[in-house]
Formats: sequence, C-alpha cells, structure tokens
Amino acid sequence: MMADDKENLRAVWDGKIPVCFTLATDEVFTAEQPEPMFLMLPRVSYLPLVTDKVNRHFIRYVDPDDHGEMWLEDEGQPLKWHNPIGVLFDMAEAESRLPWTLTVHFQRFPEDELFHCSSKEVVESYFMSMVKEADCLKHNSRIIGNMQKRDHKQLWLGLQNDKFEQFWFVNRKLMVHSEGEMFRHIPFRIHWGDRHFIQKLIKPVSADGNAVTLGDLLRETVPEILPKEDSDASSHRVIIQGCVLPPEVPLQWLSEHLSHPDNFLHICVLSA
Amino acid sequence: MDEVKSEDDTVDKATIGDEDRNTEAVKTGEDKNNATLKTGEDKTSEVVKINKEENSDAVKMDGDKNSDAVKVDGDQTGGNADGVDASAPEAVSATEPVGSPAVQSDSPAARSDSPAARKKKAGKVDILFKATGNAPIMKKSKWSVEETKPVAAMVDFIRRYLKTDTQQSIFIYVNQSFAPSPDVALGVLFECFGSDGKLVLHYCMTQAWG
Repeated sequence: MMADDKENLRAVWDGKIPVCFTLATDEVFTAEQPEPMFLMLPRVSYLPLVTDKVNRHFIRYVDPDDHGEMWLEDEGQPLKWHNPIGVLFDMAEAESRLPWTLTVHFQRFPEDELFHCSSKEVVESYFMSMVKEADCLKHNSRIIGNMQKRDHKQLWLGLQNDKFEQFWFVNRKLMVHSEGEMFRHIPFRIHWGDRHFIQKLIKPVSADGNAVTLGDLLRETVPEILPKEDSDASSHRVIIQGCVLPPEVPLQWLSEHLSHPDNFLHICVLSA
Repeated sequence: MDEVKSEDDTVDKATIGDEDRNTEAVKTGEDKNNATLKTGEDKTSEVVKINKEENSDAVKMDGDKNSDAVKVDGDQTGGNADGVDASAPEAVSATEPVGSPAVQSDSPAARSDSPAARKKKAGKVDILFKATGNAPIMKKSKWSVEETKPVAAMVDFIRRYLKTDTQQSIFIYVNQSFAPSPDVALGVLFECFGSDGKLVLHYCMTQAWG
C-alpha cells in the first residue's frame, strides 16, 4: 500500500456524520421528556453497530410493556440498517440540515420496509455476505475462499470496533490485483430514489484495453441521468462517499479507494 | 436428472401462472414477509419501467429481435445438444445472451441486447433450485420467476413448496459462495451471476457457505 493510498483510505474510514436522535413524541411514556442525544456516526458503519447508547438512553422513556425492536426514521422514511450509514445519509440529502435529526422508534416496526435486526450477528452475517459477493465479482471468490475463518472475524471485528488497521490488514488482500490484471468485475450498487438498487457486470478494463471510468459506468447503467448533448446542465448529481467525482476517474481506482467496507462501491444518484 | 426435468418443464410452464396467482393470494393475506415483498415489487417495477423507456430502440426492434431469436434458437439448441441444459421447452432462455456473464460483459453489443432479450420472456428469469446439505429436494426444481421479485420471495416460496414450518430458516446461496441480500431482485442476480440462461440457487436449512 502506498503512503498516500493509506491516507485516502484513512480519510474515507474516518468520515463521520453528526446525528441528533430524538424519541418519537407519541412514544414518550414517562412524565419526563427525554433529552435529545448527539453522536458522531462513522459513514462506513451500520446503524445497529453504533446505536446501543441511543437504545439505552431512550428505552427508559417508553412504555415498558409495549415496545419492540428499535428503528430509526428520517422525515417519515424508515432507515434501512443494512445500508452503510454514509449511503443512508447521502441518499437523504441531509448535508444541508446538520445535525442529521433522526427519530427513534420502539413501536410500529415498519415490517414492509425494514428487515429485523435482532442482534449484531445479523449485521455480521449480512456484511460478510456482501464481502463474499464482492469477492465473487472481483476474484471469482478465490481470495475470500482461501481466507481463514479468523481473517473473516478480523475483518468484521475491525469494522465493528472501528479499528482501521485491523480491518485493512485483511481487507487489502481482497483489494489485490496484479499489474495488468484488474478485478474481473467492479462490485458496485447504484442507489437511486426509492427504486431497487442497480447492479450489473462491469469490467474495469474495456475490450480495447482502456480503463473503464465512472462516466462509462453511468453511461452503461443509468444513461438517462447524464446531461443531454444540447445542454451542459445535468439533472442529477452522482455522489460516492459524500463526494462528487469527475467522470474520468477509473473504476478500478474508485473500487480500491472509495468502496465501503463491504467492498462495494455505493453510488448515490440524486436530483440536482 | 436432466431428462426428467425437461419433461417436467412443460408442466412447469403451464403451472407457473397458477403458482404466481397462488402467491398473490397468499400475499394479500397474513404475514409480514409478504408485505415486504409487495413493496419490493412496487419499487422494482419502476425500475423496469425505466429500463423500458431507456431501451425504446430495443422495444421498437422487438419484432426483428424475436425473429432473430428464433433463428438463434435453432443454432443454440443444436450447440447445446451435448447438454448443459437438455430442456427443449427452455430453449428460449437457453439462447439468451444475458445468461452468460462472459458474453455480456465483454461485448457492449451483447450488453445492450440483454434487456430486450429478457423482455421476450416478459420480464421473467429461469431459476434452478438445488438442495444442499440435508434440505429436501424440490420435485420441480426449475421455475420461471418475475425478475423484479426479491430473494426474500424465494425463501417464502421454498417454504411453501416444501411445506415447512414458517419459522424454518431457509438459506439461499448464489455460486455456492454467498448469500444474496434478501432485497436484491432476481433479475439483478441473474444478470450478474446467471449462466446458461438460468440462475442456480442453492438452498438449505442450515448455513452452508455462511
């Protein structure tokens, strides 16, 4: 790993979002109103991994006989815990309203919109599946398949405990490619509105040997969001890890540097 | 095995409509998971719509494409005679270039063809279920399923088909290597991990490649 590479990876890992949690007013059971709670949440983590404190703080104020699994809502939209926090934040277009204010619920779990998450093991299993799918796309599962169970554990614990070194010690093996031999395909998901994400097979190098860029990927997958030929104004913004990137960035570089810990490049499409 | 299946397939094609209707019926009823599926579908159907618009060229050419397809059909089934998938009624799906990741990703032409190719099948993908571990075998293992259906719907489907307890865990794996996200649409999995015109899903009652 080059030194400046590491700096990039570190910067991505350290990305944090200021969040204010409040309990849904109709779920306050006690006479005393709960104070809001403020936390800096890592972009690359998952809500159930970083909201234990929120749960402990607010659960004292709800009906002890009538509450279920905690879930979070942003302006009427239940937040899907299985997406990385940064993706949720970018899709919510919340950078203009910081801190990002989320409503905490313990009742009326939106069964039709969220998966249950009874424990951190559920997140672990979801996360590891994503990593495996990514390696299937990148290396035909060769690398993840050759890893020891303890490497998998280290990857997970690195993420869960916010340990950059521990995580990357294993994750860099998943990012290897030798000179001239890039990833087979780039693991990516395009999130756009309420739609299901878009995922396709895209190679990092074209048939004629050129690097495939972010622009190429967008042309291939979501051509309707690109500026029309007769105007420069684009109707959409494309955001990765909170950043707008030039279309000429090669996908291989993006995949190695701006992927989430699940090894997927999460691309958010928003209206301009 | 394949021989038996191919006979079955004709039956499949006929019964799938029914099965779908059954699914709808159940969906309007009771349980939570079904509700999940419904919203899932609603959302994906938007995607599908968009795809259609974006491929308006392809749509226009549909007629041509079909006749092409017929031609290819003949070729391909001939080529397939050594039998990756011996099922004659499935020839349509077997000929689709979408099925092979290699074809799809290597040539842009093949790629732009793929949504149109799938449309011929009215937005369905062929799924082959394979039991793993000590999971009971599904007598009818090959199904044509709407591409917008999420993986979670397949879990429900297997449960119903095998008449297992609703609490029974069912694990689904792709490529015998990873469990797909429950909210991923089958069309996406097919496009990324399908081969020979079908998507193979291994299922088991205990974690296999967990």
